[in-house]
Amino acid sequence: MAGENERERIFGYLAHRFGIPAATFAAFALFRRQRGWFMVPASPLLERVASLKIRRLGLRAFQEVGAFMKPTTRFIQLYGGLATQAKVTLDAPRVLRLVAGERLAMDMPEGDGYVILTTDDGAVWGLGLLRKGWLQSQLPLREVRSLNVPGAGGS
Amino acid sequence: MVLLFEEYQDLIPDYAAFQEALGETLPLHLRVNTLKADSEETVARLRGQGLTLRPSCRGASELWEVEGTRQPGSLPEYFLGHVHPQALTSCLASGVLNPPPGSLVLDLCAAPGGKTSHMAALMGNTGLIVANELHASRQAALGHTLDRLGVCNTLMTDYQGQEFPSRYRFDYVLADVPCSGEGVFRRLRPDQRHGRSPLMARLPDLQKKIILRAYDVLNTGGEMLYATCTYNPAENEAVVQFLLQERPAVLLPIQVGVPFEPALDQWMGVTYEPQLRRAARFYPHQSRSVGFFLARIGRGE
Repeated sequence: MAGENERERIFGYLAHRFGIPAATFAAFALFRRQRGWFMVPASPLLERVASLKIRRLGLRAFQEVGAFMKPTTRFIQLYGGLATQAKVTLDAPRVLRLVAGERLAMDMPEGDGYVILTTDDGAVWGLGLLRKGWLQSQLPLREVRSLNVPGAGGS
Repeated sequence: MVLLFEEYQDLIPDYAAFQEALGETLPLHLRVNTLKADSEETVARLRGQGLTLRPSCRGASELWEVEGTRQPGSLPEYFLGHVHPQALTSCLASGVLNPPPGSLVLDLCAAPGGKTSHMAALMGNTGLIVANELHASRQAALGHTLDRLGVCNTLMTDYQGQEFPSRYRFDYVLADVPCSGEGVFRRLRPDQRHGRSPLMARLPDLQKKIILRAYDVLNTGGEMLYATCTYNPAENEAVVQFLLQERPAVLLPIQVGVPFEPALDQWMGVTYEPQLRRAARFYPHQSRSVGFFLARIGRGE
């Protein structure tokens, strides 16, 4: 289970980069398995079943990439709506271009790093990566390439 | 045209309509995942894409029958985790068990995760669901479904359902057991028959072991749901009858906004306990979904 330092590193990053308050996650426990971090509601119920042969626990929320902790698409879809910064809103044709692997020119005050991709209807799609003025998709290609994005038919 | 499930001719009401329904394409039902999306907004978004949506049943604002696509996996709302394609009668199972927030729940045969994720939504991602799935190949699908739908309150185990450790106790148990799957069968050709494999004959024994274990890990006052997608009384009423003979179990009433028939009171010369009539049989010509059987069971002292 994650200690205070690790929680501070992970949730501090979310607060600093995206403005998602760390208090949002106060009621959750974090567990590490290999390079993944899993999030589950902290509850006395966990102790009641702790001796079960557990294969997996909670939502896969973060993945270690080198020294960095990258939030998963599913975590961002769940909590990205709380972000107040490092958030990009795209229309459908631009989502499709990004998903197709195209890089989009983008200038953001937060600078290089991960950004949250949303569409103008309010849906949170996942993460993009901003590097030197270019935004590229971090969405899982296998899952998004067959999507039928409305309004993007002719683009 | 070959009659299907002829052995059930006397027990299925309006057997001609049942036969006709087996030749029709099943309507697509979507469940709005309330952990990530609002039902009204999601419906508006889908209608904006040219789809036609109608409420699937009374009293369940998250269940919708959809026309205009046969590939729900290509909808953005699928990727976003806002919707989950699920047979209507399958959705009813979680709604009937209806574990409240904060509960400790066991889902004994959890993959592919439709019912597990539905219960997580009903519980508001609180409490804890032990999602048990024996087969490794199905665990991947289960994990993917739970992640896509933003489910946090689960832990996965891989015991054989009938051998789940009996020292644990749960508030609610879902036993959606392996079955012959007759309820999902559809006729694609006029001469098509429903095949039976020798393995199917062994299912009732397995189901009886699982229902006993499911009952034994319930807290006193707890509730379980026994579910199959088959019409076969040997896998349905006979299994629940076996539990009633072995344990002080109590059948509880089922109320859902979809038409159903009470369970049988006898089959092949065997008479079942009257309380078994509280269990529910769902037929495709009445529910516009797959055939299903649900028995809601309480644990007595």
